[in-house]
Amino acid sequence: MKNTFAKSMLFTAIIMTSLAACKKDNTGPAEKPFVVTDHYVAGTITPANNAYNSVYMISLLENNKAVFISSGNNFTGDYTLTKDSLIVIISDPANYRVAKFAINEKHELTSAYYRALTTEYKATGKLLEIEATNQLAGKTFKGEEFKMGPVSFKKDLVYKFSSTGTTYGSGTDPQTINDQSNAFELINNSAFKFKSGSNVEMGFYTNNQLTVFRLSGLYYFGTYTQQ
Amino acid sequence: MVTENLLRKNSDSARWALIIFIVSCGFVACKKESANVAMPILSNLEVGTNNNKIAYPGHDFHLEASIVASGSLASIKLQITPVLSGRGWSYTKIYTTGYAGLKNTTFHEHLDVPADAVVGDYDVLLLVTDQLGNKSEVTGRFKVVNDPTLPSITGLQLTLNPNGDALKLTGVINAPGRIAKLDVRVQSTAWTKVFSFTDADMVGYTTHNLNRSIDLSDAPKGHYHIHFTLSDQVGKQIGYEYHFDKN
Repeated sequence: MKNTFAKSMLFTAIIMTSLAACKKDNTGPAEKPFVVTDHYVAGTITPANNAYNSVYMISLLENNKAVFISSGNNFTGDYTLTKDSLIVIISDPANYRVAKFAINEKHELTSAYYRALTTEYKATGKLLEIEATNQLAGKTFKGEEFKMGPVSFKKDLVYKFSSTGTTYGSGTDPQTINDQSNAFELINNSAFKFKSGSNVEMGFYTNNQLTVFRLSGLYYFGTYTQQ
Repeated sequence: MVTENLLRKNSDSARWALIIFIVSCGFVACKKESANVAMPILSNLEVGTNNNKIAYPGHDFHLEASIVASGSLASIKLQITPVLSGRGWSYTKIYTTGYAGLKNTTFHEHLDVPADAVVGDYDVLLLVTDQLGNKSEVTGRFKVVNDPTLPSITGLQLTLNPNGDALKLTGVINAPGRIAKLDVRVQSTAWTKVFSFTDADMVGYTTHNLNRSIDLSDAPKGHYHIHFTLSDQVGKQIGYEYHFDKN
């Protein structure tokens, strides 16, 4: 009887061991590995006189190529990612740019530095995941717009994106905003750039907020909360 | 007693055979999940018309490659960047529609080169990911050049008649190198036909008002790609890609 019990235990143990070998691979959902090319950097650049907060994005491409996107021309350069830093350099002497970020173990940017040619700017930056779908579609944002400095220009400016996420409109009267007014370039599914002649408006969306910069003769900027 | 022992022995043997069988099944099941699948293979990269490795600002740009993915395709990433750091055309797109789930396919896409694309050397990269996460890439290089003597078709319009059996093509052809031929390739997954126009009223001329109809009476219903290749007499070519649905 004792012998039979021991054999049964051995039998069960062997089967459990053989199945456990499989189970090991299936223990809960695997943590998604960090892939830098599934992310981009978005942030603001402010000159020393605090006249404006300009918006920029940096797409992080394959083979360590980076594309710096701002209200001017796009510039392509290279990036270097280490466990605690991300450095982007546009080495073309005529358009030299360097952006340096400290990065923590959670892959968050903890500091930002930006220099264009010889001029340094105050900078912010966030490493945003590239979402699979358009994050602007159908959303409305409201907030305070500033013009060329810290004095409020429009207290309640509203940005309204169409349900298709390809056009938007803005204004202070939500009832009269035509969200089909401006057809924009969607960037990494959560940022936009609109160009009309020499006028440029661009922004990025994160944490229910839209950060916008507009170049329209003068500089306009603000951060708007999702409604 | 001897019979009893024999029976017990046979019963033990059967039990051990069962154990070995179950354990083996367990390992086979494990092995199946981690079986190695070959990496996707990319070949025959074609960059530009007839692989000429040239793109023209404001014009269509042809890209093609053969793909074999035994793990079934998940996505194809296309990346275009200038070789030199600085100002230049950059383009990235991840293609899934029409490709995801396939094991063997041809990547065939046409891009619109921006009219303000900076001339110079560019890198193109195709990165294929299969559904197991295996990745393979192929790279190439091409030039963006301005060529005022390039043939062109402006105001090109396609009008499908109500029955869907004829497609009218209108536009203005300009070819400083004189028109040699216009090929119109109409293609769906089920039907392909190339219509070549070398009519006397266009060949040899530098300008021609295009006004032709092509017969689609035997083309089945479906989504069609229509590709125009205009050639001049000094060997320059330009392509245009359009789409239409025959309902």
